Amino acid sequence: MIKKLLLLIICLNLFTNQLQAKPIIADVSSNEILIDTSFTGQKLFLFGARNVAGDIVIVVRGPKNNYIVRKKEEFFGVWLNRKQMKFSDIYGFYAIYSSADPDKLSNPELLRNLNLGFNNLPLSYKGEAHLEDIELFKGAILEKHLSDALYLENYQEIELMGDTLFKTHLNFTKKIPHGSYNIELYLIRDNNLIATETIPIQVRTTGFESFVHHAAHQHKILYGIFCVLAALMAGWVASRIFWKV
Amino acid sequence: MEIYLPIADIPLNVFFLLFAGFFAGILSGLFGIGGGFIMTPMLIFMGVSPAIAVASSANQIVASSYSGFAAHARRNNVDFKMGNVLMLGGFIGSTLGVWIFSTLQNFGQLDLVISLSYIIILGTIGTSMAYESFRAIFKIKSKVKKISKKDQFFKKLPFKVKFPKSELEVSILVPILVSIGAGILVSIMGIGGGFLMIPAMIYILGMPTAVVVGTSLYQVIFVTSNVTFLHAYTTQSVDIVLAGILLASSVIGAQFGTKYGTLVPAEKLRAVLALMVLAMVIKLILGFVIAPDNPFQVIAQ
Repeated sequence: MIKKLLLLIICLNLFTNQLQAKPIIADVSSNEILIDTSFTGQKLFLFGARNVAGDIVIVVRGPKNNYIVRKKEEFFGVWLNRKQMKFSDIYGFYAIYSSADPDKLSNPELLRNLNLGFNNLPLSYKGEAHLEDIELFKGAILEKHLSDALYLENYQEIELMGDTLFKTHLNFTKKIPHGSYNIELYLIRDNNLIATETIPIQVRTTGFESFVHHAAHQHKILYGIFCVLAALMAGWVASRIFWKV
Repeated sequence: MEIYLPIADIPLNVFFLLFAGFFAGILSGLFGIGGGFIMTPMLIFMGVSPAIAVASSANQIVASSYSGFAAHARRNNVDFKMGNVLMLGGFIGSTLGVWIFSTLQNFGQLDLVISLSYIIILGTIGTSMAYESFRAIFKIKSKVKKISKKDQFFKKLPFKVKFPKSELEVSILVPILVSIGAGILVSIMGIGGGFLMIPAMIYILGMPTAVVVGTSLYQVIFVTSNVTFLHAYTTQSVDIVLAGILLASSVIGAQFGTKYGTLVPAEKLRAVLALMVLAMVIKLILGFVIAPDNPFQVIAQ
């Protein structure tokens, strides 16, 4: 019901204002995702329209992170961390959706320029490099995000309705990092980019979690003192309850 | 049911956490040890990063050692003078330990050192406990302890101070050195250090057993407070939600441990604990010698 209402509102909005102005236009059911204690993931409903025929690709990019990747190697019979590389500006979340089969989007150069697909993600490293293992190191970063369901591939998940309208659900999984996200829409025809559109959204921690996280990072001394005092208080309460004089 | 931990930045099953705390609490109720050496590895196995596991365990131990200390203080079983000296060494050691911790983290060898510390210390404790309880169960008489050359050496050190409560006169350097060593391990291993301090106080310092536990708990409060604060300040790795859950469940576990501990003969309990400790050591050793499924480790900064 809510979904249909939303759909109607978006439709009205699209058709009255902007459809003629832009080749592709879309909106999502919310521009904000709130992470609280019980957060187990959330789906956003995306609805849009295209003015020009073509395939649609949607990419959701999360905030960038820096990573250290370490590799264990055998050393006199024991396995120890022996190699290490630093990677910078890696997307903490990346999801790709398309209306078409990925094989149909067959302009490798275009895909690479737009960072579309896991193979085209920028995985840039800095400092010391182990070039003999570079592909394995990059693979480890991909693997980590895939197993945490932070990199998602959903080809042919965008549903087309007639020549103009399209809709899909954008999946935001349990472990998403908080920060600024961009939902990017690409309209591709005959291996050429026709138009793009970007919708920014925010993923925030809310309530108590947000408060604690902020306190721990912005007020380190007060937070540290508070942790110690709270523990002493708890210990005192426990001793009163259980060891009655 | 999962709970989102604000500092660890991951959701974890709250029942696993409650179980870990409860289990550590039972051990502390049964044996009078903090249980940190069981808790910290369990948290790491659950996917909490070593830094956050160590720092949050330390925070939890502040509370559990305080409640233990309160009970001993009421029975007048604390040597405050000795406790303060041990505290001084503990402060130095734990501050040094936090620094070593962050340095190792930068070099990527923190996990190695944490595991090695656990292997060495748990291996020693497990073996000696297994040996002791084996002797107790089969009623083998222990030999009268002779004063060794080591004790003679400690007696010759300068700066002798009297500790009336412990009926001792020892060089102040001995308790300070002992507590510096224990303090370093508190920072690196996320333990209270009681299971190191107590034997050291009995065998090295020669304190009477009656005051040993209370005095150890007294100094553990301050050392773990220091570790908690320094980790909160330097690495922002104290998760108060995690510490709170562990605390609540370990307090309840400790009650169970204390209540039912008397139903089972102590030496058999100790034998069980010794086997558990040795099993953990074997698991840690296997982690080194068996080729890992995934040799890569990806850490967000």
